[in-house]
Amino acid sequence: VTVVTPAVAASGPGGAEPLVEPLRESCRMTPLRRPGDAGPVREDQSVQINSEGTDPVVVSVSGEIDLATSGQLETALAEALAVPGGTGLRLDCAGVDFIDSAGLRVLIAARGKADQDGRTFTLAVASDQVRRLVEIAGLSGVLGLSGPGPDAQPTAPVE
Amino acid sequence: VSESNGDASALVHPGGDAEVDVRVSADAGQVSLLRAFAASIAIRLDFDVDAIEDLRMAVDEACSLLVRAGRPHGALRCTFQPSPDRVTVRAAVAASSPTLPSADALSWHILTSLADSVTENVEPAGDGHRVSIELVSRPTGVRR
Repeated sequence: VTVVTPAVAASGPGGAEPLVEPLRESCRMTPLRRPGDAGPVREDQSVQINSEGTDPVVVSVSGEIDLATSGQLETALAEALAVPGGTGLRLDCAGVDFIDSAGLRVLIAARGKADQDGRTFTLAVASDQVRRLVEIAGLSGVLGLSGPGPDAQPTAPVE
Repeated sequence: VSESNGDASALVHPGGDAEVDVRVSADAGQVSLLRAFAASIAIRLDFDVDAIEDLRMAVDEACSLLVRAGRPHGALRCTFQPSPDRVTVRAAVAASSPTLPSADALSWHILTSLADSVTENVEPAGDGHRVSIELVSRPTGVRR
């Protein structure tokens, strides 16, 4: 699993200078194993995280976020919220096939950290399953998840 | 209920329902396997789409709670017992501490919202404790 964070040049403490490197091109991670490769594709380690920009830092997550992988999301969100000159965090979970309470805890903590530092936190795009969990947990308000979801997209068959 | 040396064994009962008994190490990386099992079984039982997802999420929450409670390098045993109108899942680990899974309010709230019924149990076992969760899900989602 590769976590790509914005390679913003380490500016001096305080981050007073304006954005030197406004946007960085998205770097798609290359899976270590492709489906065509020989050997079984392991089910654990199945989350991909990609971060770019600073205003705000956009973090796109896909795959499954559970007890085994939530630590990777935690690291990525902490880094995104520590980007010098970053104004906040916009989290795109459209590609998340699965999230559970372990992932939810990471989102709640990131929301709290963002508030504390005066940065924004937006759960911008969420898959049906993410919405379902957030709603059950009664955290739609806390995580800024409101309004209708991406409708007309039938849930992918579970294998 | 038998216990096999392999990862899973299916026991065919006279009624035609196959009980599936899965034993994995109580490790976070194994939880995805168990929820995939749960989804597979729900599909075979013709659960509707929402009920499949709910069972998958419920099994994930239950097994994650037990993995966190369980002793390192211990086993997590999970039994899926299908019947025409429900599937009963029983999962258990050996734990050092007699902490009830419901002590984790968020996880327990999610778990009990997803399943038709959930029960927990802690009992002395060997030099420690056995912590278990039983949940029942039905083929039609109760959401919305």
